[in-house]
Amino acid sequence: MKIILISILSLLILSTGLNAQEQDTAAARRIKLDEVVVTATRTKRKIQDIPAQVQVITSKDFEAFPVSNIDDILRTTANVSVNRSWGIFSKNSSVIMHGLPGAGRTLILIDGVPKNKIAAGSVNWHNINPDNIERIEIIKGPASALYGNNAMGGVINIIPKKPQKNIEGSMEAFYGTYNSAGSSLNLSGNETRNNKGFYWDLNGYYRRGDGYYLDPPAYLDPTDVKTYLKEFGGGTMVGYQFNKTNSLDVVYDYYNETRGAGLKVHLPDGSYESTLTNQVRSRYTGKIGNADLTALVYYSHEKFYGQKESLNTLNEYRITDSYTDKNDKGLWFTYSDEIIKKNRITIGTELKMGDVNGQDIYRTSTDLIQFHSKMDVLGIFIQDEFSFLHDRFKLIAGLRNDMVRFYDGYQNIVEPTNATGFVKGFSEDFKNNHWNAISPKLALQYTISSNSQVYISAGTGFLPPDLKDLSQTGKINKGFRLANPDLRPEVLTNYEIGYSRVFADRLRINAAIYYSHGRDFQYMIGTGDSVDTGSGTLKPVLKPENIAKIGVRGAELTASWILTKTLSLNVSYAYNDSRIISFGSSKINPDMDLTGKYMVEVSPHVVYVGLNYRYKSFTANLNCNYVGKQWFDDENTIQVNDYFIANVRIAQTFKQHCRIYLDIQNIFNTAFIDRKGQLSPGRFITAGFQYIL
Amino acid sequence: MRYAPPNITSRLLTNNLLTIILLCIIATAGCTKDKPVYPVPTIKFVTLPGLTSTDTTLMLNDTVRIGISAKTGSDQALTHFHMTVIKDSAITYIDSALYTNQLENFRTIIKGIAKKETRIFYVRDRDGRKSQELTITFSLDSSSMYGDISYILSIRLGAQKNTSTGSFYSLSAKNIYTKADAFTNQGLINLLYYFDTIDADKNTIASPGANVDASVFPGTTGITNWAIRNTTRFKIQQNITTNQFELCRNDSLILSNTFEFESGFRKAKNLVSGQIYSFVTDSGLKGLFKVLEVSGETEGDIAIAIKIKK
Repeated sequence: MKIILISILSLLILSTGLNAQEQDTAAARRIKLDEVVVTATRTKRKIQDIPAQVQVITSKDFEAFPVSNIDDILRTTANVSVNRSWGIFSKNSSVIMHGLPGAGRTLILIDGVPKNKIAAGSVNWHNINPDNIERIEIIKGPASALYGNNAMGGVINIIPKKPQKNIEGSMEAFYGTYNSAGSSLNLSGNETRNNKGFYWDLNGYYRRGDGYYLDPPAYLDPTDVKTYLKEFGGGTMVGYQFNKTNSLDVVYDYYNETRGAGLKVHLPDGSYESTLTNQVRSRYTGKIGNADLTALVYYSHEKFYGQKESLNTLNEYRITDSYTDKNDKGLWFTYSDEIIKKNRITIGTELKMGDVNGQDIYRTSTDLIQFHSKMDVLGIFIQDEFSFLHDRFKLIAGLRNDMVRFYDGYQNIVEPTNATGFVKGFSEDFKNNHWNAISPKLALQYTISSNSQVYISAGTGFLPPDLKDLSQTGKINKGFRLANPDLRPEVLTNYEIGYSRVFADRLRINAAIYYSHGRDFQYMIGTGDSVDTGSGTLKPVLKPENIAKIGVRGAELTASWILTKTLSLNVSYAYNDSRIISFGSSKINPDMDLTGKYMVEVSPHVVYVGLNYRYKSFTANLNCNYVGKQWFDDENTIQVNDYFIANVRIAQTFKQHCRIYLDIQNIFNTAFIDRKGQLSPGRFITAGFQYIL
Repeated sequence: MRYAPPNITSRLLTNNLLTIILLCIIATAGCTKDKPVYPVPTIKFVTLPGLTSTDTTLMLNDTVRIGISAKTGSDQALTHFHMTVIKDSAITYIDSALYTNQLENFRTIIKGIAKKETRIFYVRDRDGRKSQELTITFSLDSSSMYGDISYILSIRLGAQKNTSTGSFYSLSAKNIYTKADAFTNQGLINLLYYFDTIDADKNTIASPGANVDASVFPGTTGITNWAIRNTTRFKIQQNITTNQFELCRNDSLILSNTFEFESGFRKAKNLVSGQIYSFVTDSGLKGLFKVLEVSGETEGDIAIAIKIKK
């Protein structure tokens, strides 16, 4: 491995020498000052005109960076952490922004369509085809004034490619560690003539892998097997351009995955989870007069199946089949116009509807658990973007009101045994509940000069309760949960001061400090009772309550430096002190107090350093991530160790059409253990070939 | 105006795009394999000499043996063996997990005090297909008499670090053993006592077959190294008074408060003075014990009185 690292460094050093010869003949690369994003305000706006920390990852970055999953590349962004402990074999990964843990506290969008499930806020990152992405826009800090629920830590909007040429496409195949292999095919075309005509896209991808043992060798027992992966996805898009400004497209995506859980007792395929997703969305973008119009409608259906087999500490065998269907549908509409000069008003409305319907069938006992519940969110918003004093000041004021409704919560427990922990069968209709969330935002930017800005902002975010916490009583990892239909949304307010400056078109510095104050944050309260769920040990009975006030004191710093024409450096650092500042007195357990405890999964220090080299058709990226210690449990008794990971990608394009690459993730084979005590995959090497049409 | 030659490839693709998309959707979504329909598993009583397979009238304490044979009807193994025990109006459900294509289960039944004792059995396979139910009823002969009991007035068992008193007890030999002695008499040991600090179960009476943590009785003679580990199961009896316990002279109190072995708990935890537990050993021995006194922790001891059905 040292040889590989020395070779990579030699290449980079050698290239710096070559670089000197190149500089005389070509213009040096510059920091882009006019990059436009749409996510921050739902209108097209230059990054430097946005009073927030904004970062854009382009398809070029994807080519240069070693990426196995789309969320890997988010690690390059300051103040965005990714917990994906099993690498490509992880079923879930959580993206943490602005010091706020939990997958549901960051809003993920695909071209404006929410990826967070209404049921739990979770995101399946695997059903996004990385080859089909134009750019990712990352807006840090709460944005519920524009996007409603989930937009607490920030918003990540993944924008797919729109075909530009008559016909274009690519084919890719790769092979890597743990016998992982995959291929993809993308074909697209644009038939528009004189701003009129069809454009289309067709894509598919496949990936498999044998996996690895999740437990360290010393802890392996006969039921441990390698985790494995098999996934297939595909999709198509058809769009029609009516004229220069009006277009309509329809996108369909399909995804099917099976992931082994690393445990096998008797069943040939052991414990595994399988997800089948079908999604369709349609977007209209147009103009009436000077007004911009956008309308979007979407529907997503996820069919989950989990086969779980286990031997508990008493050597009792269990098989459980879990079936869950999740539906997410919605629409949004925005109208944006410069009604008064230098005063752009955006108004819109958004409807999100989600439901979950499932059952757990115990095949080794009589237990059967059935459940369903629904949640709707209806939001209306208004935003004013106002420039004054010769455009030196830019003010953005926004206000959104969301009405959230939880209904049809139902659970049915049939013939329970101690496998589920229920004493007797029952069915329960949970009472309906509804909330109203008002999310204001105010941000003011002062342009010091054409290359430096300073801003101050106050924004809000909210997160409705998870449908499981509202309406599913039963076993969870931590204990035995009692559903609480009286839960309320969590609310967060963030105050931020930021600064950005570009030095000599070569170095961009972005910095921000902020303080977030959250109330009604949800924690599990132990009732003092316990339940025997058949494992030989008693599980504590827990009830979720809106009990905590939290505070996040944070800072982030990003530097992008074009060192030479061929070499650039990105450095970022994020500091977050995320703590419970006050823990209310619970009626069910007045003695429980977590005041002063740190929030789990948040590392106070995260550092990223990335060195990019591009010489003619050769690219290399060497990057490293330091992630500080994190707490494992709410009580702050167990800490996950800090770790340092280095990754590299080298790629060469031949004759404009053929490209080969080599990725080494976790070069030094750092063994780090996640919150569940399970091992990371270690060094992961992938070699790939791409043919570009 | 310049004439732009048609791009044949892209035209073909565009013209046939809808067909391609439809074919793709049909190929991915439409191809689902029909699952074959399998018969349900079969279940029957084993009819061998010495086994009972029909409804029978028994005297109190009579012993009968029954055998159940079951077989999967599909390519999926049997995963669930269910037994319902109805003793007059009291119902107990017992579920056993398994993974086998064929099951043969033999059970010894000692007739208790219930006038009617019905057992219902069924099996299910991996996919939930359920066999028919198999039922057998044992009625109590009205001329039955209660049996004798053994009464052990008081024994004192030491906790795991008690150096003067042994922690292990044999119900058949009515003898207390130290860890080293118990190791050489593994087949005799039915009860053991320790003070639990791992799960905060504190004063605990269990048996070698319970999942007692290896750190409680460590070393080469520790339970985890035993070849024979008898299991005793327990149920707390909150309706039996101390007076009833003291006054009982035959097995009526034991039999009216006993339970199906599989439905009992492996440990009697958090024991305090005055508590009464019923127990059943894996060999069918039934009895009651009363906690007389507990003192100390890992170096402490417990005193109990035991009544065993002869």
